[in-house]
Amino acid sequence: MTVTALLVSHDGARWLPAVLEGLRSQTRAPDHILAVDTGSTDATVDLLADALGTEGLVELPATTSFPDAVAAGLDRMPARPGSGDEHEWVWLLHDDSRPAPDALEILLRAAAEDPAVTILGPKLREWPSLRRLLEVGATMSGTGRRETGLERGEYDQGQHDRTRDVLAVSSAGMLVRRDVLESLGGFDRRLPMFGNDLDLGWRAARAGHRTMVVPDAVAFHVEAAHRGVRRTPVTGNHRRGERKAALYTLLVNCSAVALPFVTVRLLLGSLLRTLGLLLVRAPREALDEVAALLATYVRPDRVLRGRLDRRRTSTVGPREVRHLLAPFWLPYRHGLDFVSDLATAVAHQASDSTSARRSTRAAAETGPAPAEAQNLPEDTGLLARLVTSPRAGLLALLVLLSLVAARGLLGSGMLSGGALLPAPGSALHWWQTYLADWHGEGVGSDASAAPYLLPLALVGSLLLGKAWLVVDLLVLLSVPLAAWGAWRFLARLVGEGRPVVWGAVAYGLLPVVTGAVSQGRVGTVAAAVILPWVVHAASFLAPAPGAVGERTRTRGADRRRRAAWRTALLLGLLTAFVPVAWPVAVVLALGAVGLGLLRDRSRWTASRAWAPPLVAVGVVPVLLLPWSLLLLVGDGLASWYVEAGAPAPELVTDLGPWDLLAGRATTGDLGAAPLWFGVAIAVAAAAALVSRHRRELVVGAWAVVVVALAAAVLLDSSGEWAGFPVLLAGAAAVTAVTVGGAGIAGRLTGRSFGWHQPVGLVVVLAALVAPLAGLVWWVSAGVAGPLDRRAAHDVPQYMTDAALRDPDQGVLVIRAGDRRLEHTLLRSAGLRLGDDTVAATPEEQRSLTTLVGDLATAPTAEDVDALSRHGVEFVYLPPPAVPDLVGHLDSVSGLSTASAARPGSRAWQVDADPSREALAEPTSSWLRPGLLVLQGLAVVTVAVLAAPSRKVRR
Amino acid sequence: MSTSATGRRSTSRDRPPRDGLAVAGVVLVALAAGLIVVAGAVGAAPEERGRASAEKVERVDVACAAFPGLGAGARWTLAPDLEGSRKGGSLEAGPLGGELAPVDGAPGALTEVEVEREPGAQVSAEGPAAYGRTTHQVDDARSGAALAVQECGQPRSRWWFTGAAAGLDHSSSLVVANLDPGPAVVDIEVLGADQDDEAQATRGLTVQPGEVRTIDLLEVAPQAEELAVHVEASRGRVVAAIADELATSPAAAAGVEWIPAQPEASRVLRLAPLPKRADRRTLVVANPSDREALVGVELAGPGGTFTPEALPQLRVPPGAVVTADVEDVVGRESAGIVLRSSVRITGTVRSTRGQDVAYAVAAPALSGPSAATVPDRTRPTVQLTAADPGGRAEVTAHAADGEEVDAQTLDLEPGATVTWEPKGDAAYLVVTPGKGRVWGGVSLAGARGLSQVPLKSLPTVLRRPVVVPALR
Repeated sequence: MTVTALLVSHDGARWLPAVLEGLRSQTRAPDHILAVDTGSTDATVDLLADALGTEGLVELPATTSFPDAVAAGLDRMPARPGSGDEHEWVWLLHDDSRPAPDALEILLRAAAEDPAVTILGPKLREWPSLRRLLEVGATMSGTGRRETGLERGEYDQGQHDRTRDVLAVSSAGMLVRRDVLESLGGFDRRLPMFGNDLDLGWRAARAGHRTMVVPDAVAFHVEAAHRGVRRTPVTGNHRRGERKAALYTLLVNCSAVALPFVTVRLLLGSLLRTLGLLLVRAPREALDEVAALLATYVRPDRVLRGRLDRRRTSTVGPREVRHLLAPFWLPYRHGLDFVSDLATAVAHQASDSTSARRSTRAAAETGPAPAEAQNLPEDTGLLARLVTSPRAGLLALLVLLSLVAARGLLGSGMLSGGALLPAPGSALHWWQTYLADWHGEGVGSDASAAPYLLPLALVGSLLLGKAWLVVDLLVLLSVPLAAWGAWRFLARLVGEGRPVVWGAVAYGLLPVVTGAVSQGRVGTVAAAVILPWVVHAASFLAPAPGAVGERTRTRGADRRRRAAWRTALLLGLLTAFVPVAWPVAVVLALGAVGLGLLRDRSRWTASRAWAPPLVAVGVVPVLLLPWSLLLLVGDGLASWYVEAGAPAPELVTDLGPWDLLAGRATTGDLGAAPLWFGVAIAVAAAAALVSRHRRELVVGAWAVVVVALAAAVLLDSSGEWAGFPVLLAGAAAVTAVTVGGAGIAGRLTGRSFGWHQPVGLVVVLAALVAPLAGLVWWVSAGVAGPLDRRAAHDVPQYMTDAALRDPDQGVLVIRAGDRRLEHTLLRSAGLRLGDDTVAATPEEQRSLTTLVGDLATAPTAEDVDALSRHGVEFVYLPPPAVPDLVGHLDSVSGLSTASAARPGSRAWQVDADPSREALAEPTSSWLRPGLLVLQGLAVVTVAVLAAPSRKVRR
Repeated sequence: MSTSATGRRSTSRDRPPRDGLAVAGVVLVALAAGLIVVAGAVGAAPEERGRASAEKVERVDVACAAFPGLGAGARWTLAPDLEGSRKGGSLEAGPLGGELAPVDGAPGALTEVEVEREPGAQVSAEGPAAYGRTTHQVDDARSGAALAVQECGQPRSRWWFTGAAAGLDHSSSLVVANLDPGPAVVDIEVLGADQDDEAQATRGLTVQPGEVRTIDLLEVAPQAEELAVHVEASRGRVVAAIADELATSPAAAAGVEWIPAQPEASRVLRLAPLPKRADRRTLVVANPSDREALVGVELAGPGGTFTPEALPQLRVPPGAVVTADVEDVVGRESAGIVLRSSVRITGTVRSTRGQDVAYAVAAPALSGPSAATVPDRTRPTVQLTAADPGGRAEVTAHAADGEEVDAQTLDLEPGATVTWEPKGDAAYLVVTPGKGRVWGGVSLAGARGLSQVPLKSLPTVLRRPVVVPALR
């Protein structure tokens, strides 16, 4: 048995001395040592020449690939000896792989024990750690992934020490029979650097040879090329090279029957991987993936020639090899692992703040930990955490109180009334409304659906399409949901503690106090839930102080960048429900940047200081795209005033000073809270200014109060519902009180006695009592107002059935409103939440409005004709039917009375067959779908940019 | 957050730089307070959506049913020459349910509608001819001593009549006509003096297009002396009227009259002023509500409004009709009665003179010109009352061809009733309110009998309701 060690090197001077030392110290020294250098520019050649002499060294140009280098080495090896029994072996080594002293001896022993084995490989351990396992044989999965069966960074404790047949062993330390290597044609020259060992093993197996890993033999390997440490003209981009090799290997070695399937699978899989890599913000890797795919797929001739070569050498069927390949389910498990890793990372999005908190806590708790504390298990399980967490306790209490307060709104039927239309039958309706560019309801419209339908549709889909559940949860659990976010934000400002409990409760009550819940103002209610998360994300936008280390600065910049995208995403969500939030945010962002420039010019002139806040507000219109752009050509700026839900102008009251002071967006008799709640908080917020404790924050909160009040006055003067600005003002006041109140007890007792203590005590007591009394008021009064739970239908069923069968058979509903008549033309089961956003404009409905006016004034037979031309089959007057109108409709020919079961309602059927002559034709344009695609891309991109940064591991 | 840094500064210096913050805080609180105050001052712009618009009347359809059992009668149609009147349009008349034929009807001219007496007449005006168009019917009893005048009604769905009866000396018939192309279904509810818990009612009476149905109240509420009748069309619209026959003494021939309709029950009723001379005057008040009505009686005499000592208040049980003799209260003055009640009521004053009877029902405040036809051989008296703070009205008398024979502007003291008798032979009168809330009626008296017509605004403008698309 003769062994020739074949060492292939390229710029390996860093490791070569150790490698040569390893070779020299072998207990069974190789018979010959031959080195092939591929154009090293460092000391490699000198080192090799010193150790092996010039006759043992082959020098090749730098462009030589690994297969070529091996082939050149084989050529230079002495001719095989004549004796037939004695096999000649080649021991392949890399310049970054060092064998253990007994490696060759053990390999040869194994080869002698089992003569059928023609390729053997040692166990590879990481160099320089020397402890971690790299490979104990390798195989390939169906997606081309190199499978070692090891955990990442697994320590070698002998757990994988089993000599066994494998598909392939690494070429670093591979002992291969020379005749076998030569009969197989050496390594495939189309695999210049990566993956050629796997391919060789696969070919050997198909040629009837056996490959075995011998874990008792150990080699240490740097994997310099794989890790990108070594760059040669041949390695190129290592990720791209590896992927290309994997695709090629699979395509040339799979069975002919499986080839079409493998081709398609690899194509789709690669595209999916690309998408996944983009989603985890790894664009370079995604590019490599695509490049590798293209490079492989545009050269089918290479694959064909490769397959022809393999056909010549293979002697056993592909079935014989299958047991050496990775099981089919392995890629799916990897995919699942990846997704769950991603989900975990997103769920711990706020690891920034958590780690920040942890570090402050750790700093506070420095010193030796008590022994019992050390013995405590770190994680005591979900239930224990829920029971012991004050936050969970408070939220559970608020959920309970919510159910008690909503006692009149539980049961069957749909939550509706006031500004809230009943939820549609399924979330699919929201998707359809949002995505369609023509809406057949009423006289037909091409209005762009309001952006809040998208989050509703998403959440509705997550809740298995139950749209009503979305609305019920949002409206009925608004207090705990709002309190949850507020807790999170306030805890970031002042740390966990009693002030945060106070603030969370006070803020949680705001949706009720403003009257938004009782009026069914779904926009303000959603805003109350989302707002704390927006400001929480925005609180990370403040630039770091100047004197920090470079590392901290980089990490801080990354965190701020991500916070900017996160803020943009959340602000977009908020703006979707309450569009007025955006102009308010723009004013606040510009104000903050302007103030920063005034106060600390040097820090704020840097783009990394001012860019994140401006990006956060600037991206929002792109996120809300079809709507935000089409608004400009449609309803114009007035639409920024109107929040989610029906406008319900009859519920909008002129706000007086006391209403604003009380924090209500409606007068008391329409379901909002009594005066004292808001007054107590306003007084406490003003008192918070007295203390110097973090006065900057309190003043900032007051600035928000002022901007919000200005917005409220603006909305109020234009006769719109001012729920969100009032809520924002309340939220800012609560924040001011929480910040001012944190540690107030200590500050009051720390002073010498004076006027501070009694006044402070009174303010504190008043502020403390307000939320408590607010809770009592809320629970005892319950949710009373226009909001109610009732049947979603108010039009006779047979009419809606007819309308659903044939959209031409519309139902014209004329309702007596506040000194006016309101008409709705239905072509479905009735208007649902979101339908109002795509209703035709009053301009588009003008002819129908005029027609209803004519019917209500002095109807003629022509008017009835016009009705049928508007696609009206039924006219329905819900109770109380307007007597004059009833008389008019009864008097005109062409209408016959139809049945209307509800007392006080009246209905007529139009005698003529309805048509849609008088209605606008459905239109479609490329603009809206195009903008929708743009919006989708924008949302995904911003979400990806906001996602936690991925640690790139190799 | 640079608390620790600023904290150090505050301890190391006497005047920390954060005083600027304190000033900013005070300014902000002041701004917030200012905004809150501004919120009270800046209200939403006055709503435009609540205002109904008005347009010229383009079509008037009226119907007059013949007085059941009477032989003679005539109908006169008129569109006074008002500001805004134009020539043109079409005016047609014919028997109810029959073919209509064109009629000449220039503005200002009183035109007789010559149509068969039975079952009644229909007058339809379109375009300019409809502007201010009113039609009156005059029926004479065969005895020649009883006069009944009514303004022909436009179809609507609710009618209230008070003062009817179903007795021996005093009986009434309800006449219901349907002008519309579809059938009408009416419910008739009768309130009686006996405060019956279950008001007598006839429900679901169908009136075919063009049909006139006469319902003798004896069939609905036999032997009831004082009745109030509520007609409500549950489908379609009708023109309803009550023909009333009253024998002032058992031996006398019955006097006849149409009881004018009151559109709705109401808490304040301003009855048309009463004729100066009458033998008996009976106030009839009906309470259709389910609570007792406390009705205050006020008298608007020539000198002003006062509460008569003899009859300060009436109690009307729920669902009942109550009468009171007001002859002594009114005396021989031209006075109107104003009723103020705690619940919605209807009311009338029945006046008898000689053999004839007349009714003063609630007269609405005039929102525009009003007109009344003067039958031959009768003396008209215009009686007008103004609410606080007084008012003014222009009254003119015209010959049948429209020529003005007399005119006067009446200044009305608050709460006082003013009378005006035109000089010369007037065929019709026009009352145009100038300012203030003015209501009134025209008393017609003469050898042919006694009648009263409440003044109602002519159909000149049509109130067009505000219509908006829901959700926008």
